[in-house]
Amino acid sequence: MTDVLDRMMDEIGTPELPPLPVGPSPFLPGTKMQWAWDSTSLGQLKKCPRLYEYSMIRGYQGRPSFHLYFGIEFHQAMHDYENGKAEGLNHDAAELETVFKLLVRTYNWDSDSPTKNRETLVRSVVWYLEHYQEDPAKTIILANGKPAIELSFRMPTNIKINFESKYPLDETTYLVCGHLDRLCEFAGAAYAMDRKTTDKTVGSYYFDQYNPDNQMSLYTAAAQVVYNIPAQGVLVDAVQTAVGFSRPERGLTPRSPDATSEWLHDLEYWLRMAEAFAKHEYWPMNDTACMGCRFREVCSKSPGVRDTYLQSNFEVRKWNPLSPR
Amino acid sequence: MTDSLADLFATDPLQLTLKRREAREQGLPDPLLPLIERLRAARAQFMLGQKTAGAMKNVAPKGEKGKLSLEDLGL
Repeated sequence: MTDVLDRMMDEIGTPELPPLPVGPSPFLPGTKMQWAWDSTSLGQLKKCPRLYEYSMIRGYQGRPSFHLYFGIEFHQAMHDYENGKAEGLNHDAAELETVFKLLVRTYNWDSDSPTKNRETLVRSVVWYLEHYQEDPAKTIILANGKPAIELSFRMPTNIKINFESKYPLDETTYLVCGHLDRLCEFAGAAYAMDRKTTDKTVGSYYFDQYNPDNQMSLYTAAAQVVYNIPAQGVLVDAVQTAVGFSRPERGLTPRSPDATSEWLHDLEYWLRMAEAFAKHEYWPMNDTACMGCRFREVCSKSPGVRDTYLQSNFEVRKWNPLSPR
Repeated sequence: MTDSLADLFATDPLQLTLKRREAREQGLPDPLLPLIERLRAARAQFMLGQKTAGAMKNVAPKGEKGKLSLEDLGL
């Protein structure tokens, strides 16, 4: 067994919200046209071009949310556990190290939420790991012999970039990128896996929301194209966190080959729209998609005062789809 | 949460690391084990409650064919 304690001595810090990682620019040089797209940025464009402008072009991210922090730390814990198992630790040892690292990382986290706080986070991790100790979904082993966990992918497309820039462009086609939690075999079929945390009750309606869904369709396509896995959709592991319990539930969101082809076909139309918006440097508001949007208050203000409101109420932290995790 | 587990949550990362190292060097159980065991026990209790609640949906007055009675459930 490796000396995890010694390594942790060097890793101890007091992180607050993890900073958005850096990487090469996802935008064509000297333009506001994005060439590398992940599900977050594409989803924003599809939902509302103005939301996309505020988030991706101008980098306004809003104040850190406990939902986001909880989700990030839960995913990191799963990553730590799977790495521990890959290094040869048994379940108990991998779980122990995972909880230790989680306590260390979240030491300074103070959440007022009764359902998403440090205690419920640790509980959710342990209950999830116990629930799936004998997981019927088996991690796929990639051609390089490594388990298909925590995969950062870059999926080239044949969609040509149709955008003028005064700078020379290295890229000629668009790229789709992102991170897959896991590729697995379940009930005789291959799936991508995505983990979610929620404080809502998880029932069939919860999983229904993922079909159709931009993120899940993108993940299915990536599993097929990048990893050459005949993925039939996404296995969604959702953990409901309540005051007194954490309940893992598993659901399937299938994608037929035709549905995946349709998503890829539609992608070109969305990218052409993105080109048109960037060419005019104008991203119109979709005022039928404001429910729950963090910029709703901004858009409800008169256009002349929106910039002032943005600057005083939001932080600039640019999201970069090309950043490695 | 018991006081000892609350203390564990409140222990700063360096102290927690040192506690674990000390326990390991002395051949004692990892100080995080009580936390994990407590969470496992809470989960087991919750699962039992869920099972009982599920069974209660099928409870019928004693003697009705095909359904459990409260006595069958030991309640």
